[in-house]
Amino acid sequence: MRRTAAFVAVALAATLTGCGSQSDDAVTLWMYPVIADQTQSRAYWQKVEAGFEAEHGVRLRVELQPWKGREQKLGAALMAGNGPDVVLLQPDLIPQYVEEKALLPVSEVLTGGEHTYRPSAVDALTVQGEVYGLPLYQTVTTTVYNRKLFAEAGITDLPDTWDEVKAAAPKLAAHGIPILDYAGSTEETLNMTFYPLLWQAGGTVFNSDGTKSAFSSPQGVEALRFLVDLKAMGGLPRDAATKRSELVDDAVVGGRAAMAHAMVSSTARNVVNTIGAANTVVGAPLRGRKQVTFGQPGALSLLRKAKNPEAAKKFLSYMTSPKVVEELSVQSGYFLPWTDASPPVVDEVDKGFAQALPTARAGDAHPQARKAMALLAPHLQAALLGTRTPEQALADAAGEVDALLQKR
Amino acid sequence: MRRLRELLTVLAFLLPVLVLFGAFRFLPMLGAAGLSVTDYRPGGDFEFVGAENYAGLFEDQYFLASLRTTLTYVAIYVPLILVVALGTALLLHSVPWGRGFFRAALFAPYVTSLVLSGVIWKWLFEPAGLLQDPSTVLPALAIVGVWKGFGYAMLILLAGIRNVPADCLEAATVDGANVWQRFRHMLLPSLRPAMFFVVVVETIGAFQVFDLIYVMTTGGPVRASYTLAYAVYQYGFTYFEVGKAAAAGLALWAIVLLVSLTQRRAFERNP
Repeated sequence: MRRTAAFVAVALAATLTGCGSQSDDAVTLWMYPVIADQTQSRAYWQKVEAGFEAEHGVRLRVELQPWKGREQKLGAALMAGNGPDVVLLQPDLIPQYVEEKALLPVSEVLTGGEHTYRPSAVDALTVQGEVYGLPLYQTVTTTVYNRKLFAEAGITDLPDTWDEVKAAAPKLAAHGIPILDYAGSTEETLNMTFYPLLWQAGGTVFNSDGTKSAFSSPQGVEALRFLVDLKAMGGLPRDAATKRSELVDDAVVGGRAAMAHAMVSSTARNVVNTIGAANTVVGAPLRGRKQVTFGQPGALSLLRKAKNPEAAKKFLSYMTSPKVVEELSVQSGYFLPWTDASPPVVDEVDKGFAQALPTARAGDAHPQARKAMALLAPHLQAALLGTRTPEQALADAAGEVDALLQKR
Repeated sequence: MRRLRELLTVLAFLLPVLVLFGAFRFLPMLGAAGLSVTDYRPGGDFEFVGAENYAGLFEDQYFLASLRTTLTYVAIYVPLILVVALGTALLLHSVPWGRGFFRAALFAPYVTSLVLSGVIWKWLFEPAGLLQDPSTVLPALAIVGVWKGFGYAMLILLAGIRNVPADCLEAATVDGANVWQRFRHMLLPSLRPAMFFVVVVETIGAFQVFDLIYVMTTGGPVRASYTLAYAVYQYGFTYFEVGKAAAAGLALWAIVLLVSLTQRRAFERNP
């Protein structure tokens, strides 16, 4: 009996202590698959760990996390008090984390060495005069076409304006191919679905002082009507309203859609690998009233609950040093975060994305940006399903977002 | 002395479960109750806000809508799983051979990965567009939920059926009772305890449906499958409104408790 009780006690103690988190003086970084190839990614981050430890004598632990559910996981870790010291964040997340008092400013570490950071990147990472993220790389999205599908539908000039897309859509639909891939699931970031179209129409998500929504403007309606019209003529996937983007089974990669309007370079490379370089065209961002696309810096932020902020700042300084950043750019295929360095152009994909870089917009930074997205997305679904008109859907969403902004 | 020893033995056997239940269920629930009266933020700052989060729930149109959606899902799912589980349990009881094989085959979905099943069912529903239509998404989800969960309920009901004495059923057959009469007046009354258990467990499960929604619809389309548990998740992990998420979670707990007690009373009144 006594022996059994002791065994049970030991087993329980082992179970409960197993749930605790690691605690030491190491700097912990949460990193994501910026380098798509897993083997390459592991090798690069192991090298970074070793390099930092050799230079500063402080242990670095890089924890590689998946993109999927990243905000939820980070939020849960922060709330539980066991988050990392440093994390990769994007500009439209930063104002929210600053408002939640989860980040420390890193202005003092932002030097860039002999290089000059892209001003748009630094602006996007600045909240109330303080920089909360150190640019590590610059991404951009652009239009990617499957030339073969267009040719099969008798289209030789690839469409690069909204009007041309609408004109070409019925011809492809007649062959059972939607012209534009679109993922309308509420889990998708609108930065890569609806917002680029909103910006191309000349609209914005919020008004200039961030006190009200602005997406229900005539420009917003025009952008949503573009999608709804395409849907009606078979120009979007049947499940566009609820579709999720698939990293592996992308519709353009699989030849189930003829083009994407905001594709990232790693997916474009998958397209090339699947349908061949001759059939893949990396074009400029689509033109509505404006030519603009989504592109943003990936930045390292310092969390307020970092165990050792001074050691974490040393790591930030090391990680943003030119040598480390340049190698990341080579490994990831993303652009350098500086204006005075040439992008590592090696093939047609790089060239196409480099051309799109000047038109990149980092999203509408606002503490409520992500919540506004969550409120807007179901209304976009309603319009795509035809249960609301574009005007009604955007007006409904605007009412909810404005109420949220007023409450705050 | 002997009673004390018996009591200690019982406690020793119960201790592991009590400790685990306390650590992973009861303490978190107390924590949630504490969080629900604060405005806790990811940065760690919080202030006491009293009943503000609870009041906020009733002003939130989407919380009330999620309650309606959840009730609709429960109303579809619970009767459906009961019928399917009872039907398969009766079939399984009457097969003369290969019962073990059929039992394992029918139980298999219960132990299949939900993510995997969700993806396969999405493919199956895709041609008919059932998950894209707000009016069909809940029945479609309920079908997947029933497919995934009926194996467990079936085993409980099968055990109940096997407890009915075979000689009584034989005597009824000799006395001229037909299949329906034997089922209605002999099997069904004997199955009441098992059915009560199944109804309560499945109702609780249906109120808490989350993983299916997360994998298959993410609450859409147009919030047509936005259930209470999904709302709790979104408040907490999308909006970082931890206090409100905790309040919604406790509201869900209270609703489930109320429904379970009502069911218990209903079964007691109609023995």
